[in-house]
Amino acid sequence: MEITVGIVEDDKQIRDSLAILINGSEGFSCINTFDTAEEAIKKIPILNLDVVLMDIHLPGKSGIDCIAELKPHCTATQFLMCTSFEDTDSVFKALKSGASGYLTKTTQPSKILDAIVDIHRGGSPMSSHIARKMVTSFHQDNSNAAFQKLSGREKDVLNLLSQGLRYKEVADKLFLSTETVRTHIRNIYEKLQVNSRTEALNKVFPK
Amino acid sequence: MQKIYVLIFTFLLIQLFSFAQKTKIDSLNAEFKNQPSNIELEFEIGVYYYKKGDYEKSLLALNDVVKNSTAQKNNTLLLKAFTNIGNVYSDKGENIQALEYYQKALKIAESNSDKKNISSLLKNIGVLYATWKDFPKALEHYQKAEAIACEIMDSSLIADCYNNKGVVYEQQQNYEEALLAYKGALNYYLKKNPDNIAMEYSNMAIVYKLKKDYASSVDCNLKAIDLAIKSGNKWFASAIYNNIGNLYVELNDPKKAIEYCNKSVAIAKEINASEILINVYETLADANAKAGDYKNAFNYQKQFALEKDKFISAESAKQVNELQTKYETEKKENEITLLQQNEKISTQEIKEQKFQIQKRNYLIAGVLLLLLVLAAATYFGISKKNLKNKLEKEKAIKETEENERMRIAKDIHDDLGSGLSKINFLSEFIYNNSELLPEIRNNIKSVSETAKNLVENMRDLIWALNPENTTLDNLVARIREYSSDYLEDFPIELMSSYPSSITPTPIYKDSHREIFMVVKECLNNIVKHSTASIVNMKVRIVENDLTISIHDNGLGFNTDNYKAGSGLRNMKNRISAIYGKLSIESEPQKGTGICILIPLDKIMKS
Repeated sequence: MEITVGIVEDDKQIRDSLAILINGSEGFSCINTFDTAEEAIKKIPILNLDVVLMDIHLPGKSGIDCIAELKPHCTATQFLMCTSFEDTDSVFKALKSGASGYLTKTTQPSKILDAIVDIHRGGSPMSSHIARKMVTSFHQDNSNAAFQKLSGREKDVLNLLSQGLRYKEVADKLFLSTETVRTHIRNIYEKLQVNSRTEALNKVFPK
Repeated sequence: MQKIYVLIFTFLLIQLFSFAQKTKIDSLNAEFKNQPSNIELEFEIGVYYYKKGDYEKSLLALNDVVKNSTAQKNNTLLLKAFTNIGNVYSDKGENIQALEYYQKALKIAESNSDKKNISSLLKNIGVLYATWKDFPKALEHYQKAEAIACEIMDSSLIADCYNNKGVVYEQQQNYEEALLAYKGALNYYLKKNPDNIAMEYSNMAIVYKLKKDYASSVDCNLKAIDLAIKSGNKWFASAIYNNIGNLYVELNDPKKAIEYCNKSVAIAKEINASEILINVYETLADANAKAGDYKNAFNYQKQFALEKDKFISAESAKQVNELQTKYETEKKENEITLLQQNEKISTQEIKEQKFQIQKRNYLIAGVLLLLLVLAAATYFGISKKNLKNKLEKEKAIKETEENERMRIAKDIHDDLGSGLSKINFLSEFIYNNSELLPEIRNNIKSVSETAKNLVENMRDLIWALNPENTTLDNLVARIREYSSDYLEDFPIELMSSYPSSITPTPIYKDSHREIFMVVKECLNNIVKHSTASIVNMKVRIVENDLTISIHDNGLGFNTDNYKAGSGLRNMKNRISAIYGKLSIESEPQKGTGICILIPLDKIMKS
């Protein structure tokens, strides 16, 4: 079955070439493209897409806010952030608001397709910076409570990633398959998102 | 509806010391004019105004009574005045002042062992706590009041205490205790004070309604209304009729509800009780709506709104009047205090003058001494302070510089970065179009690569500018990640070993940058020139040195010939600039080894 993709990107040339790339590749189908977050918020919930490529810097609402609004309505859709750089802060914010992965615009087109397949199959990329940010974030929030929610294995994975190890190395070191490492990472992302959602709730209803 | 209940409570809680209810204020005032020293009379006037709801005038009179009775040492009247001032404040909702005055009155009562007043004041203070919802304290006060009342066999006070306890229990939703308390009160009232029996039945009716025991509620209400009519208390009768109407609305009997409400309206209009009218109209609107007569329901709703407006505007007019009186009173008071002050000043002036001369002498001596000390301190302190200031200034400048650099870097990052990313992306895209001439494809490839390198370099620059990132463990992590990512795209196997744990020691960002750039350059050289199939990378921290060694199994070269090579020399220079050493071992066909050694104490931030 084809992977259905949507693109949210304000630069027309990049948007169009991405669409051509995706539609021209076997197994992919770009269903729709949007040039603003506002438009995406209106239409994406109806489209039931597999993967959405989302630019961070958009006119009006940012891509991060866009994901935060869409994620609760599109639980089956995976959001892949596109940034000019691996700007750790923005990427981290995006991951917190519900993105499951990110890629930089310097990524080769063939790797973009790889990333789409990967995220669709339940993988989530994580660099050492992001892993580091996660560790500090989990440590700061709620006096360690959130970090305690991670399983022992998840903590191990996160720590090794933050030391610069790649998936395969992590897998070898922990005697796991790379597939299991990928699952762990996806779970860590989900815990981070749940954590930031409850954080938001606590702000509205202080205990 | 709720409002009426509340009024019922407050009605009995406060004991009044007045018999002036029916006396005309004009005659009182006239009489007071004839005998201005008669403070008993002035007290009556104060109480009259209180009953009329003219609180400012009441306070004016009562405060005067306090002043005069204090002067005359008339403790009985002073106690009464304090109590009534407390009542006024309590009615105004200024409960803290009320508490203060009740406590003053209580002190007098206690010194006179006036048990009746002690008991009733304790009860009044309990009421204040009840309005603050501090129920345990309220109950404690009622309990004490009740004990004293029992001692002096004052049954009406005992009954009041019972009733008030009932009110508290009711608010705590402890309906069983509330009923018991109300029944206890009723028992006493039945014997001694028939006026309050109606109120007690009404209170019980409310509790039964809350307990959804509607039959008992109707029963109690009917008893209450019977008694109220007999005793001629019209306000109360009207309120109870409304309560009954309300009950029937809840019992789904709109016909009966309307019947009782109409009775309530008739009486309320007669005695001009708009606070009841508001409630009855609301009940009537509900009842008619239940009966399906929406036209009437609507009319009553309209009347409800109208009456409410009237009530509110009457209230606010009263408030404006109060404010006016208050303003005038304050003005007068200010004039008096001014006069008093002038008097004081003149008597003190002579004293003051003598004191001033003495003070001046001391002052002159003191100032001289101080100047001397100051001069000495300045002389010794100035050199030290200058040095400190200079250091602080330098630190501030450095910080601003750093922030500014970070800001500029971020701006460049955002503007140039996204442009470069686009160039990279589009050129890569064009390159993949196989229909193009090979020459164009090659050019495009190099555009794409240049843009990609620029983006990456910029990223490293920005990254290193962030002080969070420049720690030893971060540097090693970055090297580790970069090397595996970079070599992944080439047919080269990477073998590596790293220390198991590294402390997050902050290091200089220049050192961080130089080391990382050199490692990148090494890997780049291997990919470009060596044709190696294996790279072995080792990072170690041995004692106080960081060592990074990178070996490959590639072509190698004759080190003698390459000594002048600008790429390698550049790498050496970079490392020696941060007090490290870079050594190269290589032989043709035997691969190349590069070893970097950095003394940690040279790169660590102290």
